[in-house]
Amino acid sequence: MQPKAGLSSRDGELRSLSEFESGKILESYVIPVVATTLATTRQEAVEAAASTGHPVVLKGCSADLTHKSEAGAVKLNLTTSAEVASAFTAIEAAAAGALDGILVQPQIKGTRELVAGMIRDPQFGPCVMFGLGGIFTEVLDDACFRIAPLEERDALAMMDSIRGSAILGPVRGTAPADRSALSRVLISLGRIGLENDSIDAIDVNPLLLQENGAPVAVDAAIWTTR
Amino acid sequence: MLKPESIAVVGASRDKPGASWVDMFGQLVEFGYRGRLYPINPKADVIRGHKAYAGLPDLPEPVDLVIIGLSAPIVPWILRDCVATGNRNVHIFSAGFGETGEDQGKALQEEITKIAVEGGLRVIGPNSMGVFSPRLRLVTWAGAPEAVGSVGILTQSGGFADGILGYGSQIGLSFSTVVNYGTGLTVDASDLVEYLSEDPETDTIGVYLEGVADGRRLFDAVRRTTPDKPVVMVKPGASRAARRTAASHTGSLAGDDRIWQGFFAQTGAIRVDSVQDMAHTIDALRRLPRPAGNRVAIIGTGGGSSVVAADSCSRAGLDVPPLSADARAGLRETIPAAGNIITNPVDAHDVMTDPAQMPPVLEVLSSQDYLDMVVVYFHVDWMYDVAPDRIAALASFLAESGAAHMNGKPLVATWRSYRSGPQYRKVIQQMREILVDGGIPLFPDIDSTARTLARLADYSGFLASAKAT
Repeated sequence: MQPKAGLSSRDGELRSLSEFESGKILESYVIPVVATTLATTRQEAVEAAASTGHPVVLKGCSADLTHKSEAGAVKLNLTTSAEVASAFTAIEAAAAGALDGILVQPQIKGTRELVAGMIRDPQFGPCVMFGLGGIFTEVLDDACFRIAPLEERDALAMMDSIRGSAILGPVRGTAPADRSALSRVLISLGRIGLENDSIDAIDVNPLLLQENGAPVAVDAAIWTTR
Repeated sequence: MLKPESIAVVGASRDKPGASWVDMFGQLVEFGYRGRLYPINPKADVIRGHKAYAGLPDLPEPVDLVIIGLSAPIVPWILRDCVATGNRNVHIFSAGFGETGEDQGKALQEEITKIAVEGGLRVIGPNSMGVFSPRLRLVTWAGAPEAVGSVGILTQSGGFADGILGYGSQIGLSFSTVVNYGTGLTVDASDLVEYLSEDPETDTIGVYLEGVADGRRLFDAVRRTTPDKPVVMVKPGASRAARRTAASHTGSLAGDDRIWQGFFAQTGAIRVDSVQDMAHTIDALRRLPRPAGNRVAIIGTGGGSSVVAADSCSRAGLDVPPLSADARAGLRETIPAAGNIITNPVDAHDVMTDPAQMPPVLEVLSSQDYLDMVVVYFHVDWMYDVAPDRIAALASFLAESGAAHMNGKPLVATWRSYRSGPQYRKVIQQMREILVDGGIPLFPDIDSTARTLARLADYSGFLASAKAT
């Protein structure tokens, strides 16, 4: 995955960080990221899954692995140690050795996928993006931007300015989005851009709304300028 | 440099009796510029009665503004002269630099940028018409209005400057300063916003901008301005075709429009799409109290056009709430039942043709706490047929005392007329003059009315949220 066409701006070679590295940076800015263990052996994965609690997700982790699902490097909803062990083997085989390790994460319940990110605009510098996530990012292209730094009212206004903003309300029995937690995520993404010149773009997709309405980053990528 | 007391024009044309074309120096003389004028032309002794000089080094004083009207390849030489003679403020009228997209133009642009930056010159242009200040009687182009006002305009496009002056004058706007800064070599939109923001003679700012070198500076400058002075802005480039055209017009990078949408939401600058919309929005901002919200009542005639008007308002983001039972009863005391439909929009033939009925109607509507603004919608053809003087009668009432019955809420007017015939054009012109003189904003159609009122409501919302945080 590359930053979307037209969004990344700087000349010079971009380097993408792995999901694990990206998550650590987001966490340092108090952005909620799904609990993640980096396992390098099958045994570590099985133990991490047990202590996380089943069901879990396994993902191959590498800066070079950009289309994880398409590469067969994501295994969802693993409910037993045996399933975890065989998923580990399958991902190792699919990734053909280019892995830093394999990520073990709890299977998060939630169907509302959002996207949030940061890009550097050639005229305005760091800008924060927010919109509908997952497959809808490509299908509906429903996203809005604000120039960093964001104030809380800017972040709240972003939530109302996407066409699909109804997804943040109570939908089909799920709790409404925790808007103040979401606004903290957006404000933090702007701060990362302002405080780290070397970070060129951030893509948190999906930023999942859990059933209780709290957002959590389930996948993330950060690009840096070498 | 925007209030110069002395100007030198490099390349002032020699006197040519009978010539139909008037150059920049001629415009300055004819408009009656109030400061000291120095034509520069080595081939003339006197131009239009002013002693001519061979070059900048020959001037008796450094001037507040040097205007360069010579062809592009000569401009670097003149700029070096400016640096050497301590003439720091420059307006380059000439085109033929980076905006051409061609190698020679780009090389010249690089050269003049280097001279200007190293020499500490403040440069408006190239490819720009420069500064218009009716107070100083300063103008370098033809057809500028004489009235002195308090609207400040900064624009990358010269045609836009001419357009807003022309159309704005028609609807009663007058101007403090208009700057067409073209490519914006060392003086760009951010500097000019900062200047107009501080300028006590300017109360409202209009901007036409295709792109900006340092967006963040502009962002900060506009955000600091909008709480005190509204900033109304045309920023084209939402379409790919417009972005391509902007690149060849002013050499601007138009940028991702979604980020500009963020710019407008965050700064409170009011986005409009055309010369006319800018003029009407500035007019409404200057003449009207700030609406408390986006809820509008419409008074007019005609069932179908009322439905269409309601749709138009909704599409623009306004709310057209139904009238309460109390309000309907209040209106019923004035408006007879036959032929009138008392809802919102109010479809009331009697009120539109009898101004004496208007005060209680405006009082009832403007005292509803769920209504923020009132639109009076003239159906010119029908009103004329009732009696030719009805249009002027209603316009005169609105102009003289309409606002007094509004409880501090905005009152505006709009009209429609579909017939040909000079009698209709004549009453429309009469209506326009009466309302403009009386300070009631008049819009050319219901769509532009709705768009502008929605922008006013948005701006009120921005001011309220800016104050709250």
